[in-house]
Parts: sequence; C-alpha cells; structure tokens
Amino acid sequence: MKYFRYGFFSVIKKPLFNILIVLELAGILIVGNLTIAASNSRSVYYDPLAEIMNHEGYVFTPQKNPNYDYDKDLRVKATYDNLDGITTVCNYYHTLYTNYEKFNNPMFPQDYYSKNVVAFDNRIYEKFNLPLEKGRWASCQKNNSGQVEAVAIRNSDKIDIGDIIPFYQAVVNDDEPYDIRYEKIFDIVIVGIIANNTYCPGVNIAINQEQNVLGCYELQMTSSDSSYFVACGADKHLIDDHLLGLSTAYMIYNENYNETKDSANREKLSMLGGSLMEMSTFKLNSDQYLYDQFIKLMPILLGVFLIVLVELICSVTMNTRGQLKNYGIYFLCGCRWKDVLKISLANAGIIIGLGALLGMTGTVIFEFTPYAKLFEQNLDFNNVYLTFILILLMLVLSIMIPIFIIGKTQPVEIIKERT
Amino acid sequence: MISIKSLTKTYNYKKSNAFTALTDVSLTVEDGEMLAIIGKSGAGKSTLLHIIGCIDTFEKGEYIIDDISVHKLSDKKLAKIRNEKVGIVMQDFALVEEYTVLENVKIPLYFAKKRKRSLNTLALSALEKVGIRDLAKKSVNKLSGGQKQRVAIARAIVNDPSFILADEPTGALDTKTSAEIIELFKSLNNDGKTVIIITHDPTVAESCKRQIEISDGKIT
Repeated sequence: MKYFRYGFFSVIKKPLFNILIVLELAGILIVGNLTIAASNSRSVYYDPLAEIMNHEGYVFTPQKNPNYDYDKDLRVKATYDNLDGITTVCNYYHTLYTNYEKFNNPMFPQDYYSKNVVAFDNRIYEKFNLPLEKGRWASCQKNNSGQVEAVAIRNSDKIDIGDIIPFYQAVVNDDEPYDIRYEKIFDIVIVGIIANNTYCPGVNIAINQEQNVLGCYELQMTSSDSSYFVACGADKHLIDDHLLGLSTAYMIYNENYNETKDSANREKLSMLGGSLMEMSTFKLNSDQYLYDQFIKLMPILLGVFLIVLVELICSVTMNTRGQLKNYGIYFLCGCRWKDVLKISLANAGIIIGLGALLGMTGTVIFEFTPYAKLFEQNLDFNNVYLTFILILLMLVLSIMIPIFIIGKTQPVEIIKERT
Repeated sequence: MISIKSLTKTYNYKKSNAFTALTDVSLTVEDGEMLAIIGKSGAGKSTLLHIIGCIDTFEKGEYIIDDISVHKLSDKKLAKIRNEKVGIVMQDFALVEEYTVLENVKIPLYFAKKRKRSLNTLALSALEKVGIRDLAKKSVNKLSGGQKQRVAIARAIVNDPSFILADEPTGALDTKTSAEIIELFKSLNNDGKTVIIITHDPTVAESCKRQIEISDGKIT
C-alpha cells in the first residue's frame, strides 16, 4: 500500500506533466480503437455472406426492369425454381402500396403511396446485424395476429415501433386499363428502428463496380425521403405470394451438381437476362476489398504503435529519471532500492490506468455520437484485443524502462550527487 | 555503540579504475557521544558516513552497530537499520520538494510499517522537538534553508533512532542559522542521541565533544 501511496503522490504532485501523459495515452487508445473500429465495420458487410461465399456457385443479378413488369418477375421466379442441383439464397425486393396514415399527404388523403420492402432469405437474414436505434431485430415468423415483422429506417414519416402498416398490391382491371384497384395482402408490424446512417442490405449487386460485398449494401439515412423496410423472407406467405421482385441471388451447388446441370442452368439464366458472376470471383473481389481496407488502415495502426512506443519510452524515462532524486530520499529513510521499483511501477500503473480509462470512455462516447456511423465505426471484440495489447505494451515498457534505469543506478550515487 | 575495525572501502573494486577511499579505518563511537569527523574535501569523510549509515558497502574490515555486524547483511536488514537505528541529515536537506513538511517527516514512518493512526502524532511530535510544528502543512519549497534543515532533522529523529548522522549540516546555512542547528544537535545529544557530524567548519567541529580527522582515507 505504501508503494501505491508514493506512486500516487508522484502523480498528484506533478499534475501538469502527468495529465499530459494521461491525455496522450488516452488519445493513442482512442485513435487505435477508432482505426480498428473502422476496420471492423468493413467485415460487418463481409461476415453475413462469408458462409455462402465459401461454397462453389455463382451470384446472379437479373436485368433490372426500367418499369414495373409483373410478368418478368414471374419469369425470374419460375426460372429460379427450375434450376437444377443448386440451392438459391435470394433477396426479394418489391414495391408495394399503402395508405397508412403517416404517409398520407393531407391534400390527397385517399391516395396510395408506393413503398419498398426488402426481404431476405432466412439463411442470410439472421446473420445481418444492423445496429438498431431501438426495438429488436424482426423475427422470421409471423406473429400471433398474422402480421409480418419488420425493421424500418426512421425517416420524415416518423415510423415508430408498434406501427402496423397495411400493404396493398395494385391490380389493373382488364376491362378498364386506367382503373387500378388495391388488394390488401398483409400488414407489417414495426418491431425495430434501424440506427441512422446505417449501411443496410440492398438488393442489387450490379450497382457496385467492384462487384464485392459492399455492393450488397446501401446507406440509409433518416434524412432520406424513401422508406425502407427489412423483413425476413422465409415466410412462404411473403415470398411465394407477394414479394416477387427477385433481385441478386446467391446460387450454391448441391452435392450432385455436375457439368450437364451447370450448362443447363447457365442457359436458363442467360435467357432470362442479367449478370452472372462466379462465387469464387465474388469472394475474391470481397477478400480484395477487405484486404484493401486493411492496407489503407495499416499505416494508421503502425503509426499508433510507433507513437505509443516513442511516447512511452520518452515519458517513462523522463518520469523515472525525474523521480530518482526522490527515490534516493526513500532509500535514506529505509526503503530497499529494489522496492523503489514498486513505487515506480505503481506510479506508471496509475498513469496508464487513468489513460486507459479515459481512452476507453472516449472511444465508447464517440461510438454513441452520430459521427461514429458517418465514419463507419463499429466496436467489437477486436477493440478489446487492441486495447488489451496497447495497455500490455504500455505496462511492459513501464516495467522494463524503470528496471533498466533503477537497476543501473546505485542509490549511493544519487546521494553523492546531492552532496 | 558503533565499532569499526580495519575497514577498507574501494570504489570500482577489482576493476582497472579502482580507487581506495578508506584504508584500514578503525573507529569506536560510544552511545551518547557527539563526534565531529573533519577533513579536507575528498579525504573520505562522506564515504565513512555513508558506510556508517548503511548507504554504502565496504570490501574489507568489520562494522558493528548495536551488536549487529553489518558486513554482508541483506538489503532488507540494511534498510531496517537505516530506518530504525540511524537518522541521516544531508547538506542539501534531502527533502521531497513537492511534499509538505508533515509528508516529508512521515516518510520513514511509512517504511517502518507504523500504525497509520500514530503517524501524524509521531511526525508532529518530531516537528515539535525541532520547533516547527506550526509549519506542518506548509510546502517544503516555501521554507527557508534553516527551516528545511529542521524538517530534515525532524525526519531523522521521527523513528527515534539511536544515531543521528549529519553530512555538512550547516554547509548551506548562514552563521546564525548554523549556530541554531548546532544547538539543536546538542539538544538531541543531551537527550541521549549519539550524533556524528561530518564537517570542515572548525566552529561546528569545536562544538562537538570529540573530533577525529580523516586525511587521504585514513584517520589521523
């Protein structure tokens, strides 16, 4: 306890010097953690599709319709259903209509408004881990009232948890081409609100020139006018009957897959029209994306480590050398020379502890600011590892340098310097 | 009692730049004595004081303090002697400048593992003895030279040691303050403490009951 006491005294009796060191350490931890958090955010896009990318197969994106084309949707679905020897994991995307009160324009209260609903196959849906502002991630099962659960981005319509939004399908009367009627198909109940500025799973990989996982996401903001609903598509009610707009599909070879089946499948998809990419190419592009991101962030990380090294060596050396005179006094008063090392360690431990606490607090606080999403920050266990490694590095240096300086110095030399 | 027999101290022992600071020194200091060790600069006075204070080691000879042979004692036991048996006062006061007077005086008590509740009482009592109890909460760097030396003496006596060792205790003080400090040492000696003062000031030496002179590492 006495060593801790004198270590503590050393800190509080030189407040300015020690506050500067604490702030420097905290700053280094924050920069290091934010760099790692930025790196993490890239793998957040990659991870949900990682398992699928490890299979042989291809990624297919049907040619986009310039206008709504129900027949084309039906043909896409029929083609997908008729593929032989593959498992298809799909995105389902459709524009539906609603007259929900929050969307209504007071000038035209009876109008129906088109809204986009994105649903995902349950094999990937569960792996998305979108940050929620509140509520929970929607279940793949309909609730007791037969409603489909969904999460939504909060936009100017002020969508909130508990809102039940009726969706309709527009049906054109054969007799009267301009007479459109709306048939209610299901209600969506909002169970979670996606955080602002979140990259949400999108529908069309073709929009991404590099054709990697990043293309599967679109930035959703509360300032956007368009509504965005994500639901699980596992429910047959949602997929088979209504959400027919099939978008990017990940097609995985089954065990009995062979060249004959492959040729036939490729022919069917070719007739449908769209872009087909080998899964291995998609994985390669995505791996390259992750690697590029890592390479971009690497200099910052190395810089942080270099700063930690130089800063700590300087400050610990200055601190230990500055304290030697006092250590000589403790020795005169009955402290063993090797015990002054404990005082030095307590001193360093307190400074590093305060720096680490401040650094971690700063990082967490930053994570809750709007800037975190804007700079694509995502804290996870890698941050815990990095913080642990940095603190360990700080502690090791704080131990090694005083051991070297104090071990190389005889107390009698310090006392002689005084006389 | 302190008993030194045929003590030799060599710096950089067994190295090419070895230098013998004390040669075959023998000295006995009885309990209750007030002794001045005088000599020119570099004669070996401070080296002898450092050895008596268990700050430094020696290669040959014998040093016994209160029936304890110091040669080859463990660091722990040497630290215990520095803490309990000797109180050391230096020319430059050897105080922690950032601490208050009370905090400085309490340092030996912490290393003596005294009960926390008694620390303030003991420290204030030591300050009372040197006449600066009212300065207890003042920061050391705001004190005069004479006041700082009193703090150093208070710290030296706070653990009630048998021996007070002072290395040029008046070297940084004016004549009037020097006289006051020497009176303080005399008073402590009258209270039964054994006082050993290193000095090259004849006035200080004359105020001690006994003087010995060191020249070229030998007692003359």
